[in-house]
Amino acid sequence: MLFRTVYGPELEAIYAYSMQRSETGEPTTRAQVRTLFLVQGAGISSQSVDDAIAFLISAGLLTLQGDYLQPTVIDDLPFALKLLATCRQIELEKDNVSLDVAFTLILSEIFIGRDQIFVEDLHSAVNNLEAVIRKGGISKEKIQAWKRVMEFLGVGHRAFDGFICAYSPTLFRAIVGQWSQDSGTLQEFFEQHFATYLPYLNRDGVLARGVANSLQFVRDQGYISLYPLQDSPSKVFLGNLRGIRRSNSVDY
Amino acid sequence: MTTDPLHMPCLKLSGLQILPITANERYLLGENIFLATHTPMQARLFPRGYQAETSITEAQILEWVLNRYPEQQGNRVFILYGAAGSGKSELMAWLELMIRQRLPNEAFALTRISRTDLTVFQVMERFKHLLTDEYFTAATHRRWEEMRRKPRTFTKLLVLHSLETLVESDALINALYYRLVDVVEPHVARLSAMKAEDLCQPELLPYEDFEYLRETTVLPISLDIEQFRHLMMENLRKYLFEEMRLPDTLQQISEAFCHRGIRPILLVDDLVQSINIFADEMLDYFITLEKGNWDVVIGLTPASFETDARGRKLLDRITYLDTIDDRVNKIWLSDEQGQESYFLTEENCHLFAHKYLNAMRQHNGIVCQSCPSFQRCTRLSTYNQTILAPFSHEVLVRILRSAPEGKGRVRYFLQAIKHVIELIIQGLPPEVAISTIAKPDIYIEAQDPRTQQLLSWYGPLTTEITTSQPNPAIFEFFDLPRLSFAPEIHSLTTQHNSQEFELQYSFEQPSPSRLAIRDWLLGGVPNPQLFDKFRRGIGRWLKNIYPSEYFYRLNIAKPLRTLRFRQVELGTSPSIIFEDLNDDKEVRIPIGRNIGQAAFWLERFSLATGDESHQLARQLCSAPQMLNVLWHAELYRKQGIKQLEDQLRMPLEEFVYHLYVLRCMIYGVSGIVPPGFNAEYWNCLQQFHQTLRRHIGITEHLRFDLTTIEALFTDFFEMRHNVYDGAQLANLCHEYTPLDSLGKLTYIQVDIVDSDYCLRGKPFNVFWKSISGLNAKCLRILSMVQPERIDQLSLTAQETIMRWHEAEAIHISNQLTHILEEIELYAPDIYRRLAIVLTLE
Repeated sequence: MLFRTVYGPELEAIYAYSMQRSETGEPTTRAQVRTLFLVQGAGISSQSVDDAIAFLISAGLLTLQGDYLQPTVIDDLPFALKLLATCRQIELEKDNVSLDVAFTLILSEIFIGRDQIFVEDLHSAVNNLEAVIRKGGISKEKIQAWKRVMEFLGVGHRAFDGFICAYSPTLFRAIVGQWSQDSGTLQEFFEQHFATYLPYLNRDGVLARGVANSLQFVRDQGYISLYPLQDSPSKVFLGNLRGIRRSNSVDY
Repeated sequence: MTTDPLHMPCLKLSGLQILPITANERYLLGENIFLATHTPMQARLFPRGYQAETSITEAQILEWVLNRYPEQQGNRVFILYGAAGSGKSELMAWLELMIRQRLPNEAFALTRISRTDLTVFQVMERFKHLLTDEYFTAATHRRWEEMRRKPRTFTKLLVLHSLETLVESDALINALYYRLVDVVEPHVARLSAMKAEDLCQPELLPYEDFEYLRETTVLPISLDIEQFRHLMMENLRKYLFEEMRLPDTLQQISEAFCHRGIRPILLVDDLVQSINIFADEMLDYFITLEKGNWDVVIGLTPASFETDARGRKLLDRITYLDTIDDRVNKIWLSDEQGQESYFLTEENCHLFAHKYLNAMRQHNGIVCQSCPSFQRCTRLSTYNQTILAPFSHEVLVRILRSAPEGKGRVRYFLQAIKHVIELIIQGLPPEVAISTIAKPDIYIEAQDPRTQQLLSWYGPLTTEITTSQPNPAIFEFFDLPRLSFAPEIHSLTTQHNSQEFELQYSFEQPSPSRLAIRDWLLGGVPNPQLFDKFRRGIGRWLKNIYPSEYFYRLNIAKPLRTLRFRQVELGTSPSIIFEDLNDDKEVRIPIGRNIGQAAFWLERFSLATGDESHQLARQLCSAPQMLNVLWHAELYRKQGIKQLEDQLRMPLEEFVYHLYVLRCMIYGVSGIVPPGFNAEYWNCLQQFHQTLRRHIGITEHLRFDLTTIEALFTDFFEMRHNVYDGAQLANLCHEYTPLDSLGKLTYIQVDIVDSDYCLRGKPFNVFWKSISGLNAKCLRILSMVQPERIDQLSLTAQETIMRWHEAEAIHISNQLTHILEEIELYAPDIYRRLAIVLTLE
């Protein structure tokens, strides 16, 4: 299950270590991970590390093969994008009725869909989602953990007991960096690439404010350029813009 | 050629004469115009004791004056207090008109001394004429003119004659004469050239000046000031007023009328400006002598008596002496500062203005009902059946609120209306014309700058933050597109709780910081010092969301926030730069004008508490424009980390790791052993610690620094309770031996690290000064006791060191660079000394 008491940094660290061991042909075990990441001593619980491993397995980033932890994908995609892509995949699986569906559904439904940047009482909002009601609800502690992971991934910030959903420019840039094209229409960028990681359209089919702001910020920082592309039959964003081009002089 | 941008035919320069500066000028335009533009006035009574204040209308004042009978003995005095420009002359002019209408047969017994039209000489001559039907002689007129032209000569005459009478010694007269002439002359000059704007009571020799003279001279001044002043006044009367004494004259006039069964009436617009030097003796006569039969209304500007001790004494006597209260009726048109008018209020200012605007339209030959602009004018500003265009009630209230302190609001209000109309006729847009005289008290965000400006003046009056759709007529009148949403209206005034508010005046002055924010949002460049609260608000908001100035591994469970980038800008941190306000700091959070109305929320958030704080925090978090602030804070943090890493010449995590190794060597490795360190490495650290403990004592300062290092290590490597980034630590252990870590730390140059970086409140350079010395000492000790390290070197490298130890020449070969790198890695302390020798050779 994805709704676990995890923080984020330990997920990336454990995943990176598993990848490293796997690449050298010596996959790691749960016990080895515990030894390497946990303070050794009597009475110290291994729950934190176990939760992190369970999260990574639920997300589909690791599998347990016998005693060994094996990464499912061997590529150089940043950890945040890998995790978001797998969570998004779970959300969009039609037959999936597990609570894990709600992990990025919270973003799609509560923040992006309703075009809300900030939700103060996220616990109540989440527990009103159909997918969550069906599964009997999610505790406050788990919602707190969700906020922490999302903050770690760059999806937003915990603020005044609530959550601000605004994709950080670093995350946005990373997504742009993984795009297979250097330029194209905004419509294909969002529909074919961005949507595999994160939701972006509100219920009216318009770019959500938080996403639009992030797009503009990345543009203002010089990482991308946006242009009208007047003769393109594609969808218009931010008033009159249709095209996006990645800057060649920047590392993503 | 002038153009009216509003296309209102009633706005013509010729009609502006209806809006003169003084009531007297309007009075001179004719009785009809005066009465058409006159607004019924109201004053206040402040009874003695605990009785509550009451209001009194001008009609009641008139009845009060007229309620008399000829046999009545003694003067009846009404004192009308009011700041300059509060409407005293208006009321006097109206009283004069009304009394003449009501008592046509006694009109000859009515004397009004207006504010501007007479000098003291003419006033005295008028009283003389009233008594004797005669005027001053030609010689007296000549002397007055001489005095006006040559005030110093006249002063000399006045002082010398007075001194002659009082002082015996020639030498002393001579000495005092020169000192006193300089003191008295400016007062004599003012007496003859007093202007309408002069507020001070004229005085031949103020107490203060005389005392100053006495203190700054060695001459034995045994003069009695009252005696000397009395003599000067007598001489003045002798030279200029044919020895006429005002109290005596008034008494004789009173008696003369009394014989005819008439009580004379005297209206004095402003006692000081009209009667000036004789003001106190005239007042004295009316309020203390019971012989006269005058009915007197005297206008008094309290501030004019405040300039010298004699004036203050007189004013206190009038205001507080019980015996005076018995025979004087006191009414107030405004408070002493003129800040609050007792008849022109925010509720009725539009009625006041309407009379003038209407008279102006009539004067310009315009009948509203047949005017093409009638509909739009009506819709813009109809308020209780009054057309106020190009103003509205809101605009008029804002003009009224902008009256400067110390000036009466009535005159200011009229002048301001006239000024705005003049500017509009000259072609200035109304929003610009209004901005020249009024202060904004709200801010409304709109896409179109002109709409935004206009709404600042025509928008609703509020002292709170509200959301409402402005009057649609505003958009129609100015031919602007309507807003598609109900904008938030920000009050620029400071909020007070209701109890405080009641004690204040009827409106609050806009807060300077909010005015500065508004100016900046509209493109101005205000003083950045006024952004103090705005900065603090940003700092406070960010601190709750993102650690822009604290460096630790983000998203860990319990950061101790040990390392801080404390860049203070005008008393606040993190460092913030506002668009177009210059700054020379490289790393800072830029705030652009696109932050819009959130700037006001931040300003309030800086000091907000309780529910307000909670509500503002929620508003700020929901505002899209705040996302830019948040992301710039992220960049700020990254830039701060990069700058520090450049100065340290290594990644921050690596630096923290090396420091932690040093800390373990000095302080020991007992307690929790972080994962990632292998047993061999850990044993090595233990051994080093055993060696160093014999050489290094732990002082309190050192203990503090070592605890800081431990906290720093936790901030960068402990991800959750008992969960460390063991993989990264293992990599670092693998890469660097304990002595390598110490060697790496020797490369850090303390002077290069920015002093804005702090470790638990201690500036980095101060921290590093003690740690770097300690590190060097440890390295020296450990290098000496670790010969086996040299065994790990290649034979060539060992030979090089041996040669150096034995002071032999070292062969400079192609391999030398490679050998030196090897020595640097395994024996950094030896390398450092060797490198110096090589450099010298």
